[in-house]
Amino acid sequence: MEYARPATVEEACSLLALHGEGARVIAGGVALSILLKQRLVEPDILVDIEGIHSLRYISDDANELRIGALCKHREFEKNPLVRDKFPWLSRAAERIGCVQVRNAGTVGGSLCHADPASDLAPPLIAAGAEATLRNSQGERKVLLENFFIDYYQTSLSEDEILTEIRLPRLSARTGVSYEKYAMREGDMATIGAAALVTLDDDKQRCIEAGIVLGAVGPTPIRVKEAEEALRGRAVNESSLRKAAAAAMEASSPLSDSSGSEQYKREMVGVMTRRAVSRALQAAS
Amino acid sequence: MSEYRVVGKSVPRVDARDKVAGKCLFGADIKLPGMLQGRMLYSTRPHARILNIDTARAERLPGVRAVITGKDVPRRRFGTIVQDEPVMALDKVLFVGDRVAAVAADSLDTAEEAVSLIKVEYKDLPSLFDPREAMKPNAKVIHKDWESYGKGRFRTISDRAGNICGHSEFSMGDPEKGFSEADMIFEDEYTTPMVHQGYIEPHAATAMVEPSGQITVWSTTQGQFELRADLAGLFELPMSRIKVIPTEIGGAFGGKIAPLLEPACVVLSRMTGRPVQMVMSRRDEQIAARPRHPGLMRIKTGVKKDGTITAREVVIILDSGAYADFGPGAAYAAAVGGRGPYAIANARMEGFCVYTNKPSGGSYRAPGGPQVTFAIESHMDAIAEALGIDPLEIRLKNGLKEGDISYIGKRIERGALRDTLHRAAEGIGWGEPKEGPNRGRGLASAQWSNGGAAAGLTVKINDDGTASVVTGSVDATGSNTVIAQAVAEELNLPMSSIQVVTGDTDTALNAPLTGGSMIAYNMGKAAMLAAQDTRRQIMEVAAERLGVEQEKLRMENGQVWVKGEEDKRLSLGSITRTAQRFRGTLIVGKGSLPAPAPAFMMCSQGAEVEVDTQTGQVVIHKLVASHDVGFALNPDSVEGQLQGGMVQGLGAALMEDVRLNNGNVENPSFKDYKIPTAVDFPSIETSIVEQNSEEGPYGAKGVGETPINPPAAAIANAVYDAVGVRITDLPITPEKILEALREKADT
Repeated sequence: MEYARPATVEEACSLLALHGEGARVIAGGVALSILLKQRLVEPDILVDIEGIHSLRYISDDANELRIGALCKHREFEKNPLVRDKFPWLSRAAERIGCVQVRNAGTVGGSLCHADPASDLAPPLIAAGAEATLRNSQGERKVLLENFFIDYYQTSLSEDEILTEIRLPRLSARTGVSYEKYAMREGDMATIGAAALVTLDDDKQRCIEAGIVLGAVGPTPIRVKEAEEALRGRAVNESSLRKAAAAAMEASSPLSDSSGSEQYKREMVGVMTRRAVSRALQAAS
Repeated sequence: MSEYRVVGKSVPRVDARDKVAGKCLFGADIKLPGMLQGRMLYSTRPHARILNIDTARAERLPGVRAVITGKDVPRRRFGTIVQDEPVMALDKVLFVGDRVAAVAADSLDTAEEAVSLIKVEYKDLPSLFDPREAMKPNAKVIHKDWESYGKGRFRTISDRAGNICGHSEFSMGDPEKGFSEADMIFEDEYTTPMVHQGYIEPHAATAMVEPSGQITVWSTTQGQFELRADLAGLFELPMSRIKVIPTEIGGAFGGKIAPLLEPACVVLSRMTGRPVQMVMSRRDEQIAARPRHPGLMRIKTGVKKDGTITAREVVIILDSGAYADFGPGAAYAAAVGGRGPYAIANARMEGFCVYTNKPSGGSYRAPGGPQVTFAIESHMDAIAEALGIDPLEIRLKNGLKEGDISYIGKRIERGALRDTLHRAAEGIGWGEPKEGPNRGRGLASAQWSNGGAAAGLTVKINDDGTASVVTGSVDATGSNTVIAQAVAEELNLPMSSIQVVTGDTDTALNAPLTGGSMIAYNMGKAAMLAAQDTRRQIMEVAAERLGVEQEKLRMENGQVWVKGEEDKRLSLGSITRTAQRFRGTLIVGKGSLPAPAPAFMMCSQGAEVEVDTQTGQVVIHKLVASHDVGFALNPDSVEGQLQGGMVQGLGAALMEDVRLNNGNVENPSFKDYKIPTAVDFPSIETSIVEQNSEEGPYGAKGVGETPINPPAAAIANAVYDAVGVRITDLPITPEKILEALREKADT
């Protein structure tokens, strides 16, 4: 296996174009090193992009939060700007693995690995985040919601790398929350549920909603039926129950050592309710 | 409090610096010239006859140096208690994970590939997975030659019959009369699953067989002398033909006692003439090592209305898996201690260990203790609840007090249980208002005893006046530090002047294996005696050289001087050099002792928890462990043992479960087999009670095992206190709690 450490995005993209499916991008290596060790992935060349320093930033630009793909989880979690303006995102980042993992892993790496249990994807999707993908020819933008295709599969082409995540500034009276169920602190999510709630001027009705589940299907799942149950209505026991029921319906958890399928589905409901309630609190 | 200078003080562990710096050499770090890598092929069937093993393709693979099967290994079987385990499956496999073949190759990759090329033809046989079925008189016998099996070195008072590889029975007083005198009789059943020790370092072994036939084995073993004896027995060699070198050990907890990889490494090395190393993967560990036995406990207790226990009956059934290993010992220990730390005059206890087609259980920290303690201590709370008595009160009322006799026959001198109960209760705010809803507090007590074993070691004074100790005990728990402390104490030397070396079977005197909470108790005593002997020799030489009576001498900090005449002094280095040069005297102290009587320990632990009634999750807010340790030789180390044991117990309480489906382990990785990590629990408050033992060094008792006994019951009791549901089947998972809450709401 070859190893290359390009210093620029252009260099990285041309290496990817050259080697096609034989190349794998590595950043923090949290996920890929395990796959390599277990030989689930056997690339011809590893393209290590950690040396591309221009992809390691967090900035607040024209009402958008821009996160460079090589930003470490820990930097992201501790960033004053994120903590101040997107505290829910900082809290979601805090739930990723342990400190050692957060010091090594990158935001872009986590998203490109596309493990459905990612802690970042659900809240980012709920908040309408967009990904910038680049290859030698140029760049394109996709909604993060459309980025995930299947277990560990994204819409990235062989010659593309994810360079940036952009998060639109949220409208007023908007709250976002991410709830995670795991048997142990620091585990991958057994269930993740993110909610976005925007209230009307009187803070009576929900005018915009986003519900996204993690870890209970091949990709993060945006539950439109749950959003419908909230949008245009007061968030109360009845709408919460409907949203939770829709989320449970949309999920397809598997039985394993963290719980039976039935239990997990029930927890999808509990986590969805909690996420919506907390988002509502933050919005009011 | 004590008049001691070094013992009883929290000194840093002597191995801490090297461990933190990554300098210690563990089992897999052994590298020898020309060394081959070995891999084992494990059975994929729970119970099957082996019709054929085709190794031809594996043997043809370039880089493969040897392939072995049951045909190439000694036909003898080994076992700590029953000699029932073959080096490799001989004609049948008894569980998924049984050793079927092994390969030695130039590289690990080649060895792995070779293993995958071995074709085994099996004829499946009906499997037994439930010990209750397997112990029925008409059940198919898994070991058809069971009657011909020899006895291992560890003797327990137990008998065997068919699938029952260990049966122990104890009776005292008149149980029938006791039950007839009871106002109420309570009966409960509790179950605990298979759990793994979860040591970080996997088993590793390296063997080198010289052309002369001399065998050297490097192993992660907890006892080099036991391993040597096992290998000598298997290969029918005199012990002197085998040298076992214990490597640094990265956690063991009882799981690294019986041979696992060593015999195959020896056979492969013999065939190839080269050193052969095998290191288990985590998956190997989870399917083919020696975890804790699943347990089924039936407990029946007669009580007076005031909570006084009149009689008890306990039946423990341990699922041995394919082989006996230490199972009969665990069943014995669970049964003999089946009354718990309580004064119960009328009792009958019975322990069974039963073969099934599952991974073979072994020893895991207090074998048998956690299973039976979960049952006893959950049951105590259930009784207290039914009688409307405070759980603390029912324990105080029945607990072993001054004058009572413990299960090991020792008379209790002071009410150590009472002390630990009060401290644990106070620590978790027993009886105080709770901070919120769904919060609960639970207590659990336990008892245990440490082993007494013949022990010996040597201390020599070096030319520079420092002391070197060679011990035959493996340091898994900080025992080398305690040994150094005893020597420093007796020789009045600073800790920095003491080196403790763990010796191999040729260089060290025989020592007990590191298990049974034995090392500080027995080897600590040997170190104390050896240092005292060294001191006598130093004084004799010094007195002669200084021309005064020994009584006039004082020894401190590596110097001996005449009291009142400070300038008449000699250094230990000078004494030792001149003693050898001019007197022909070597200053070498020996300390040995015949097996002392075991010491008896009691403890209580408490927990405050909060239950999330929507998810069933348990959040722990407070943990306290109060233990009688006799005398804390190194309080920081003792605290570490108490905390470590409690955390392991909490893992088994809340999440650990080797899940089996048709004999296959469904969660053979640390991703799916959950063990708690540092962030899962709050820090554990410890409270040390010191009721000196009679025979341990400075009054110390064994510490390592006891703390793993009570945690599961403490949590179960706290959960009950919080939300009114009692989980009787470990682990106490969120799902079980939620289900129980639902059942409770339905009724």
